[in-house]
Amino acid sequence: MIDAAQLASLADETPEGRSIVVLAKEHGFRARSIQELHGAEFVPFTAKTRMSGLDATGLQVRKGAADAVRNFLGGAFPAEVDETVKRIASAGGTPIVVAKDGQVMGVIYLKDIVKAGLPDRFARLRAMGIKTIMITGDNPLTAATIAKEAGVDDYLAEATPEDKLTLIRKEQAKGHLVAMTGDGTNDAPALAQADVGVAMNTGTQAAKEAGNMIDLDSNPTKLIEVVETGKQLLITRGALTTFSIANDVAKYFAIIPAMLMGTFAVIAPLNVMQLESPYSAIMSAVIFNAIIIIALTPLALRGVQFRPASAGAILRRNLLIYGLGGIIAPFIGIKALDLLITALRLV
Amino acid sequence: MSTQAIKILDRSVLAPAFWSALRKLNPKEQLRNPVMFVTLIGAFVTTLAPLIGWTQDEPLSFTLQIAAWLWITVIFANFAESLAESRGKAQADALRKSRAHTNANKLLSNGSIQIVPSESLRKDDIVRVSAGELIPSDGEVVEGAAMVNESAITGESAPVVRESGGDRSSVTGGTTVLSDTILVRVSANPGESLMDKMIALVEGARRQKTPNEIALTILLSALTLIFLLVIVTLKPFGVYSGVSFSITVLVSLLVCLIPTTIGGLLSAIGIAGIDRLSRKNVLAMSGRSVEAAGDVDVLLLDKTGTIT
Repeated sequence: MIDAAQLASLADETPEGRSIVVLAKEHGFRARSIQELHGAEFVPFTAKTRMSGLDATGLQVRKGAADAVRNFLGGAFPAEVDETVKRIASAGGTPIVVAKDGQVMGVIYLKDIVKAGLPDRFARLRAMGIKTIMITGDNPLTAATIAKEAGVDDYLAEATPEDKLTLIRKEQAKGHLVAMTGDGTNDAPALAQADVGVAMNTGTQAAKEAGNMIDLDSNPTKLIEVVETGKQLLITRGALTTFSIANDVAKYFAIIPAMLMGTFAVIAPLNVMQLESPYSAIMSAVIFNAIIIIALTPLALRGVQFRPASAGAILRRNLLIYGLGGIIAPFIGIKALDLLITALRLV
Repeated sequence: MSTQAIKILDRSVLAPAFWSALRKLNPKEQLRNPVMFVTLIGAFVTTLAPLIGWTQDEPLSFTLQIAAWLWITVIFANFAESLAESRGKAQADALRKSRAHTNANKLLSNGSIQIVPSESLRKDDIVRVSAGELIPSDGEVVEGAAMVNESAITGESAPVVRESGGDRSSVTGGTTVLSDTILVRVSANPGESLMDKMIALVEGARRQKTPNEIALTILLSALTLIFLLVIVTLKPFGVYSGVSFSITVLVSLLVCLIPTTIGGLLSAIGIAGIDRLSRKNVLAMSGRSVEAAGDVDVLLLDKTGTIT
């Protein structure tokens, strides 16, 4: 059984395939090199067949998802195996059925380990109002268990590349913007359809051309950071726009009284900042207007501090900081500049 | 991409950014940004005002100081943009250096090998790359498997396997083959490879305004126009009520009321966003996709590799 599983997995470069080869090694079966088995024809794993194997004279091995192997074998699928597959699946494992010469040899229980810190990350994404959907070729039972463990909102089990594309179209029809990562040629249509398609640099040329971003490190988890950076950009722009427009209030109170005080004494109470003279008032406002640009440049380049929160909470927080701050800051700044200009007798 | 952090306040970055800020005073360049264009005109008018006697009885030093600060406002805005661009420029220079002139072994249709400059390669040409050689252009491995060092673009020095067939067949121009020999079908014409795209992107040469930026620019322009009308009409109102506003005062009021802060920083924010992504080794093909990423509300994550 181990021998067959190892043979069937040699041509499978997916993490599952590699895990099985490693598992076989732990049981004392050295991995045979492909050259050793000349004359044998490898059947590589694909997302569509969800099965890999090897054909040689007098030997045919396959390993893969239960339903894929069942279809391959036709009738010879014992109920006992079905039961084991279900049990492994409901426990959150990935059942890999191994068959040799038309006979089921056994089932391998591969357990997925959710990466550390991910459940927290998904909780943060949820707080931002982002729905996470896990895509997997596993059966629905396994998928549900892993999805629960990882804390994703939804899952798509036994997914083929076409299912992915359909899912994206469905979400977009509901008015959502969808982001995804992909590397294979069969990911290309989905990458092109998604609003943000991050192609892995290790992936095929087709995938890289279809996506609108390329991750040079080929780390799919980075999609989360990409979304956070995008959010940070939008928030920074919103914050500085709010600040810029809120600034007008103080500048208005600095310049308008200064312009009219000479003629209309009644306007004097509007000079709330008690600015020294009309000239120094106008100059303070103009100087403040210039230096606030350079003062905010580091913020514009670095981006505002980003805390995951719902859109509403971010809006309230920004209105408070950049709206209220944008009203108050220039009152203080212009008054200070006015004192400085007067002290230095610039006008 | 070399991910060495380039500090904001690096002297080697500040000086070129300052000169580039002065060069950006070119009105043609400013026309892209209506808010700063109005400020630039204001600075120009205020500077000329004393010469044509529009300053009335206000002290000359006041007019000149205001004029100076208006110029400084525009320069500061340009400086912010240059600073955002300069980080990309430094990266682009580093990339260019790594892309020295190379020759490629082109496989001719009769099976013989011809040595040609890599710039002459076209899409669908087949080249042979052996251990120790640079891959001349982006392409797909059509025969063989090799260990490839991709540190020139990823900064990651551990070699990776690239082989024909399957999902790991794509190679990038400028990376080095460490072992074995592969045949590569070129997939990009000169100037269109990933390396070229990276250089163009980080330099901001192909940067176009994103839809959100265009919308915001229209809003800011509308605000500017409204304030411009208000200020222009102030003059006759003033004359009617016996107050005579000088051109310096009117320009000052205008520049203070139009949204110069966001107008000046808008493009710097956009460039910096792309830059932050590229420092995470993610290459955005357009500013638009970075913005879309900010609006995303559904994430599709592959279980394998991402979650487990």
